[in-house]
Amino acid sequence: MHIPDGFLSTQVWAAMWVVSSLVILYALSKVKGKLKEKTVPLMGMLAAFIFAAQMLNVPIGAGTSGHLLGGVLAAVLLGPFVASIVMVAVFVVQAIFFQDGGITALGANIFNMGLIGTIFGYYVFRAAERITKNTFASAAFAAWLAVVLAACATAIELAYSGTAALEIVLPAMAVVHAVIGVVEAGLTLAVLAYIGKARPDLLQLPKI
Amino acid sequence: MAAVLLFSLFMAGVLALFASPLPDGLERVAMDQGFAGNASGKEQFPIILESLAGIAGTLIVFCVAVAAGKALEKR
Repeated sequence: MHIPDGFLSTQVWAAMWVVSSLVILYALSKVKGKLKEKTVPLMGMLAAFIFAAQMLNVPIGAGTSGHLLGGVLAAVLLGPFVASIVMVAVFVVQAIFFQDGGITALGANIFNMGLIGTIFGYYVFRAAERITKNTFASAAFAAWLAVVLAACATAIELAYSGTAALEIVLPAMAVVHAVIGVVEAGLTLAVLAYIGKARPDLLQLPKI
Repeated sequence: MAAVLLFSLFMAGVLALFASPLPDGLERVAMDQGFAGNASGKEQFPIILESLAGIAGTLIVFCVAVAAGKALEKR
């Protein structure tokens, strides 16, 4: 779902840079001086894993592929604000070293594929967990929802940019990503289940 | 811990070579709706470079994330 340069108008990509920067600054302020030493290697591992996993497109039908986003996975393990920092690292490295997502579009890409999942997705996860008492199912649902909302945000940005008509691009993006979201949910679930077996202590870290 | 990093390097350096070349959701919608041409182009590189780039990128992002973590650590 990486938006390349050229899809967004100047107003939209600049606005998204501002929005993402503000959210990131807020996240940094929440994390600074509070991060436990034990969490740091996990940040590195998650960044590496998510970065690599985002390269693994899988076909989802109708000549289309999808890949993991990983924002909710990161947030479930690290909390919303630390996860946001991890996701920013991933998207920045992708944009600079891989031209995966434009540089002007980086603000939008960080917001859509990162911050929606790490922050909104985290609170959806927590609410679902309170209601269902099932951590894994809640994470899977939040992960699915984050993908769909990311797609909607992308569609809205495209429409505001005049690149596509909202009434066409929004349903198209939402439907495709409702399917891709299933992959996200499945992978999120699988990774968390594996961690639950192999390193359950990692599920109990303090979350910021 | 190191196992996760190694597995990630394996994903990026080896598995990624077998990743689906099909367009992702956004690319597909862009193609269907006719605005795919607006994108500034993405270059194609020989396979070995893709693999090395994947490995390099994974290592770089690992270092960036750890550096960020260290900078934000509780003192």
